[in-house]
Order: sequence, then structure tokens, then C-alpha cells
Amino acid sequence: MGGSMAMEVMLDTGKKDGIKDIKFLNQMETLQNQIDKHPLTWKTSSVIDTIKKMRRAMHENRMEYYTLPETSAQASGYLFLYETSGGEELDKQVSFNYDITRLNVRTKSLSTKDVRTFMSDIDRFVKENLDPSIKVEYAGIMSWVRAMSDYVAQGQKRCFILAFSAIACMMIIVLRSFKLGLISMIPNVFPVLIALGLMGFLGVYMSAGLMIMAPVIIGVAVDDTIHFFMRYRREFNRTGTYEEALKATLSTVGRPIMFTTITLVAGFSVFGLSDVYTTVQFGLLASFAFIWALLADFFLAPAMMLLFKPLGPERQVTMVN
Amino acid sequence: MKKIVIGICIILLLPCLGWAEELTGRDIALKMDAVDTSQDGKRTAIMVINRKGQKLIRKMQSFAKKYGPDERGLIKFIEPPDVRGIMYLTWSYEDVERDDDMWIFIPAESLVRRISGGGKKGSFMRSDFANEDIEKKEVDDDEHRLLRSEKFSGVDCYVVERINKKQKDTNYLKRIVWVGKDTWLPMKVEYYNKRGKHFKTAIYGGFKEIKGIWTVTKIMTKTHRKGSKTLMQYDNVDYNIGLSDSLFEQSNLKR
Repeated sequence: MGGSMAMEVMLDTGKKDGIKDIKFLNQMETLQNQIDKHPLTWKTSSVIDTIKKMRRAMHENRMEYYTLPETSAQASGYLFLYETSGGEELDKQVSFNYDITRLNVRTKSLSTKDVRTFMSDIDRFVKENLDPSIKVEYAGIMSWVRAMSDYVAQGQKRCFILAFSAIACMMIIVLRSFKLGLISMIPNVFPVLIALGLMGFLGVYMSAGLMIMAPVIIGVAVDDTIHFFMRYRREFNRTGTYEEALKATLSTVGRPIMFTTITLVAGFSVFGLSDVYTTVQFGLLASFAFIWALLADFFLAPAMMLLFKPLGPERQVTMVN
Repeated sequence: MKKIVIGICIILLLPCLGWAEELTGRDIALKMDAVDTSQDGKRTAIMVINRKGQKLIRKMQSFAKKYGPDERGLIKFIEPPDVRGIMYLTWSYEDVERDDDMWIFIPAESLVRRISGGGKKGSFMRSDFANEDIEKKEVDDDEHRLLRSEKFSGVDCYVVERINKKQKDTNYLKRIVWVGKDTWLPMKVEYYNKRGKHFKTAIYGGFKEIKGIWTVTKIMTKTHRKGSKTLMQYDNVDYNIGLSDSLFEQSNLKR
């Protein structure tokens, strides 16, 4: 079964005793019936059920009386009868002034995607069928899940864009070349894409804890990239050819870049021993991404250099020996 | 011989005189129960429930008549307007084992139904009064213990602890009642929840002598943590007016 989820639909009539109005009760009943019909719903409950139960009880428990009465006065009567026989329960269903009431909806535990469809289905029905004077709001675990996933997605997007642009600016300034700067961002972003891809492949859900992963990966990966590109630029100036510069670069900074990566992977893998699930995920995914950052610096970056030739035409440099 | 008999009587009575002040808790409860000597009575109750600035007003008229140790009561609701005309009829019995009979009349549905008197622990119409506070209680429903005597708002009072014998029928571990020595009416009641916390207080006031019977006409009850309070006020109180028996018949409800 995997647990249950609850949602509260709050209906505000905006006026004192508004709930006792039979027109409102009828509308609320159609909403409740609609939600009951939804395939994801387990169970609903509201003051409507209470009124129906009271009415049935007052009519020798005959099932044909398990309906709303016809007039507001009758509905008030049943609500009042319920009120006189223990207001504590009533307090859980309707506000003190009888202006706000709630509809409790239970479902099995749903994925974020199902929560979204479920809530938008309900919201659409509310907008199309309920009197606009009734204010409807959603609360409970389900709307919490929806809001949370919205925040996570939004935050993830914003973090990534910010980190990307800040680091790209930095690279352009440091390498003193717009073209080279942008090319250097590819091995930075590549490991993030690989890590996100792995998450999708393994079915790991994005959570608040994993939100910081993308900017952290970019931030760390840039370290090796900056070494690589700075060196490459200098070697190109010295040798004048892309191929020669590449050889010289890999033979000098190649080793330190590899060692820093091994250190980083070892360091972040320690998170894998944590008891906090998100931290384990973070540590392992980040380690995985750093390996790919190294591979990108060693293979992707050289390939792009040779392909795009971002530092202008090769020139003959007289070897002064 | 005569002198000896008188002497013995005096000796026997002396301790009683000496203990005249030493009432037990139950004696006090009996005295309180005996204050209302009327055969029948009527009153209009206005209840103002105030919860965090929001107000509910309830108005009802009630009639009561004694049938030996038993009692019959009729409550007619006047306000709010949407429930005007709803009536409750109760027949309560001194016999602790016998449940009260209760009927309700709903004019909008034009029906009379017998209902069970359950839900004693619930709140009375969303007020700070519980149903068990409103219902007439028999003296021996509770265990009474006199704690001390002290002054409360300038009146000499007995302070009595009351513990309901049927703990599952009540929300209270105990109640502590200040009883005025002059009128035998309650002055203040402190309510303790099952965890022993003092959570609710009722203050009694508006003491009036009506046709020789001392009567409480105002009760203010506050539930401390909920931030709500309820004022109950009794107007048009009258006693011994010769209410007819038919008023308390269920056939009378549906007229």
C-alpha cells in the first residue's frame, strides 16, 4: 500500500453562516462527488457526510434519506443538532462562524507527478463548476509536496544559471578570449549533465539536498579546467600549433589534474558512508561527476581545441634553442 | 428518671453540637441541592460565546418541572434565527442507572425524534461549557471532599473537591468548587483535565433572590489555552408558576 496522502480543500464562503446555505452545500457535494470519482482518490470526508448521516439517523436510518435536505433551514437544523451534541467534532469540520469548511481527501502515496495531475484535475473542476464567490484553497501534505517540488525545480534552475554565468564570465576574463572562455565551459557543464543523466537513469529523485549538486560540480570542475586552459594558452603562444601545445599541456598539467581529481573523488566518496540518504547520493553522484570532469578535460577539451581552433591560425615559431 | 433521660439526651447531642460546624463535603452538596425548592420554573438563557474576537450568540427559553425526585425540562431555541423553534425535551431520573429520555423537534423537517443522551463529554453548542456542566447532576454522582474554608471575593466559602465516580463519563479529573456559606450557591469552579492541569474556570455571579429562592443569573466560563470564553446569562427567571404537565409531553412538541 505504501502509506497514504492527504489533502485538505478549504472552501471559504466569505460570509458568516455561509455554509448553512443549501446552494453552497449542493455545490460542495458535487465537488466531493467529483473527487470521489477520481481514480486516485481513496476516501473523502466533509461536513456534507455529517449532515447526510444526521438526516438518515433522524429518519429511521433509511438509506433514501442519505442525501442533503432541500432547504437551508433543514440543513441548519441538522448542523445545529450536531452542534448541540458535541461541538468539538464540529470544530474540526467548520469554522466557528460557519464561513469556512474543509473537504478532506485521502489517496495512496502519490508521486510528485500524480500529485500535480490530481490537484490540477480538482482545481479545473473547481474553476469550471463552483461559484466564483467561493474561495478555494489547498492545504495538507499533497499541496506541500507540490509546493516543495516547485521550489526545488526553480531553485535548481536558478542555481545552475547563476553559477554558469558567473563562472563563464570569470573564464572569459581569465583566458582573455570570448571564444576560448565559452569552449572552456563545455567540460565544466558536461559532468553536471552526466550526473543528472545518471540520476534519471537510476531513478534518483531530485530533492532539496541534491539541489546544490549542480553548482558544486561546476565550481569544483572549473578548478582543473582553468589549469588546463591557462596552460594551453601559454603553450600555444610558445609553440604556435594546436597539436604541439596540446602535447606540452598534457605532459605538464596532466598529472597534477589527475591527482587532484583522485583526491576529490576519494574525499567526496566519504559522504557515501553517511546515514543521511541525500548526503550519500550527493557524495557518490559528485564523485562520479568529477571523474567525468577529468575525462572531459583530457579528451573533450583537446578535441574541441583541434576542431574549433579558438586561438586563431597556427603560426610558425622559430625555435630558439 | 426524667432528668436522667434528659441528661443522656444532652450527652448524646453534645458531640453533634460540637460538630455542627464540621460539615462533610457531601453535606455541603446536599445543602446546595436543596437551594432550589421550586416545583417548576422558567428562564431565558442568553449565551455569548467569544472565541478570539469572533462571537456566537445563542438564545433559548427553558422550562422545568419536578416530578418527585425526577425532573422534566423543555428547551426552545430562539437564536440564531435559522434554528428558531428547535426544541429539546428531557426527562431525567434520580436513579443513576437509568438513562435520561430525550426528544428533539426540528420544525423545518417537522419531525420529532427520540435521541440518546450520549456525548456528555462534548462541548455544549461550541461554547466553553461541556454538556456535563449544564446537565443536572445528582449529589451521589460525585465523591465530595471538603478541603478548607476561605474568603472568595469577600464571601466566606467552603472549598470542596468533587470527583466524578464514573471517570469514563467525564473529561475532568476533578472540579474544585467555592460554595458561598450564605447562599449555598457556587461562586467559582475550577476544572482540572485528566492530566491534572487546571484548564478551565467558571465564575458565578448575579445572585438574586427570586420568590425566596437564591438564584445564579450569570456564569462566565473561560478555557485558558483556547482563548475562548462564554457568558451565560439567565433572564426572566420565575418559579412556581404552575406549568402544565402537557408542556412536557412529546405530543406537545409538534404543535
